Amino acid sequence: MSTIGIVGIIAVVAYCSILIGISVRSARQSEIKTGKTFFLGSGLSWFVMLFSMMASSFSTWVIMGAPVTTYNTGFTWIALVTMYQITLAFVCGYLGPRFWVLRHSFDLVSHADLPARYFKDNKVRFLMGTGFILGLCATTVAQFKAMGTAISAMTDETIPYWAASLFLYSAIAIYVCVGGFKGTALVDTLQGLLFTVILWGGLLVVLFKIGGPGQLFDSVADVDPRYILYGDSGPDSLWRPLTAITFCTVATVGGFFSAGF
Amino acid sequence: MKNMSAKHVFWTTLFLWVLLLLPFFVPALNTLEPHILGLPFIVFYDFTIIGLHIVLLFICKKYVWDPFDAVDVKKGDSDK
Repeated sequence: MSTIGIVGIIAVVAYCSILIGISVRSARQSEIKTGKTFFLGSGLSWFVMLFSMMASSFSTWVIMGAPVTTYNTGFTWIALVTMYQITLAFVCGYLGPRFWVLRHSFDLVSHADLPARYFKDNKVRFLMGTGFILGLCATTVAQFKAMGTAISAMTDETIPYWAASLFLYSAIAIYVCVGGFKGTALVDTLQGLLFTVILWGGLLVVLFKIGGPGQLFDSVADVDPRYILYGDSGPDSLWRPLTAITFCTVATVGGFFSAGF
Repeated sequence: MKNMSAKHVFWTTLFLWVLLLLPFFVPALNTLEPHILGLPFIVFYDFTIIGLHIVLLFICKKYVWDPFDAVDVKKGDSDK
């Protein structure tokens, strides 16, 4: 086994051990205070909630999905998606207080509780839960495959990607089941902080090496200006006008109209 | 700013989205030259619109949206 492989394995095992350790510690503290472990969100600070939401929302998408998609489809994509992310904040800002009132008035916990209560039928809860799970299947599997491939590369392919995926799946299952909501939120906070440091650190390193944002974009444009310009940008262009308009319509109008304008 | 309503915000957001999509249809905007603050024009244009959107977000937070604790939630309302 190569040195890179050994270092990679130690790093992955140490990282997963830290995540599980945080989760177990959180579960023990919760049990001491309340005797319950799973749904303990009310005591979380805004800092934990913020980074937990960041990690949940961005997750491996930011680290793995976004760079690849930007590389394949050009700068147009990242501009539109950044705008979309900000628009989501508007939807949350407008709808958030209303859902806050509903949640506290009716003791709701999950997304499905409100419609299930309105229709007075538990089948709605089951249907929505099934829908969520089916909808998440493809992206979740893709994330495990991506993480497994990354770990396989980190360990110089000492660990095959399927074994790395299985290991990660087990580690995540343990810290979610043991730590419950609070444990997972704390783990996500650590990961959110890590993502932030890696992303900004990576950006600063790249900008320092290249000589600034202007040089960065000029270097990309020198390779192929279609990476920067709108239209059929990038070799596997995705963002043609109609795609972009559809995306923006769903992002903006869909979110706001659901508020009942 | 204090008189802004949620509808104003909606139309402003929509306007910013239209501005962001405009280079698809206006070739004069879809260009690398001139460079502004060292950035290619189209990149500067996109970053400006995103920056304006963030300013709008800040204005909404300060003047438009209700804070989460604005309503006194009383348990038992669910029975009404």
